[in-house]
Amino acid sequence: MTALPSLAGLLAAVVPLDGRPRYVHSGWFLISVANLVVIVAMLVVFALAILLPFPRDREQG
Amino acid sequence: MSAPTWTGRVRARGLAAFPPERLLPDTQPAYVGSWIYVFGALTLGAFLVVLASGAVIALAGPAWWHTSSAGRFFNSIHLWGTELFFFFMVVHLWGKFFMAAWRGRRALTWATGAVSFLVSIATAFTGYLTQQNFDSQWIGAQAKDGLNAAGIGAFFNVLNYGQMLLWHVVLLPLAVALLIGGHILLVRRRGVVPPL
Repeated sequence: MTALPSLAGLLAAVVPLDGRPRYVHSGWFLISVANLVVIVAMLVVFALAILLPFPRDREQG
Repeated sequence: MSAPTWTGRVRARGLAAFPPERLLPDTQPAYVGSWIYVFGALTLGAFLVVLASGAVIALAGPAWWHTSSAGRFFNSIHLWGTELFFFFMVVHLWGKFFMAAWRGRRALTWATGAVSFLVSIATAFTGYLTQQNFDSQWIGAQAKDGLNAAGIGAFFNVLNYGQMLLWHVVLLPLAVALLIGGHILLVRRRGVVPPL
């Protein structure tokens, strides 16, 4: 975990839900890391849903 | 010639709008074979999990799930089911938006989906208000100012725990269920939208 401090930070923000929340803050923009992770995950899943081939029946080819 | 009774007329109109092979089809167009078409069904599945876990939480009153391991388990299922419900619904919404899914006389299908999303947000909001912890107190205290400024607080008081609990477990889930039911019937009626 020490080799990947940013990943550890993300996991720490997501997993121990009773802990102190972490935020990304830049000027007027403020979002919790947990919410940011969910939004990024939705974007990734959306892209994968479009790009990944859907399994088809062998009979239909 | 129309049927002599209202039940007969309802049956005739129902069968005309939703013949069994359209209501429960066993095939779909080839373009439905894509992962992006799966997220509507996933949203429905998560909604059923939320309803079932909420029913279990309701079994023993409004607070027991704070003080027993079984209660905390089903409360967590309820929370994470809701998280997945919104996750799948947002991906479904993005997919349909970029597909312009209101094409081909599907405007009402799109509208019922959009309204379902908004009413679901209100349902989740009342759920957060009924957690009975500092989080729900803070959310209620912040929300009351905005809702009062809009004139909504007169009949929707976010600091009234009993009112919020009943909206959360009866009125809003019923509205979401009716909207989702109507949305699915419209999908069956008009068919799944083809890609652009």
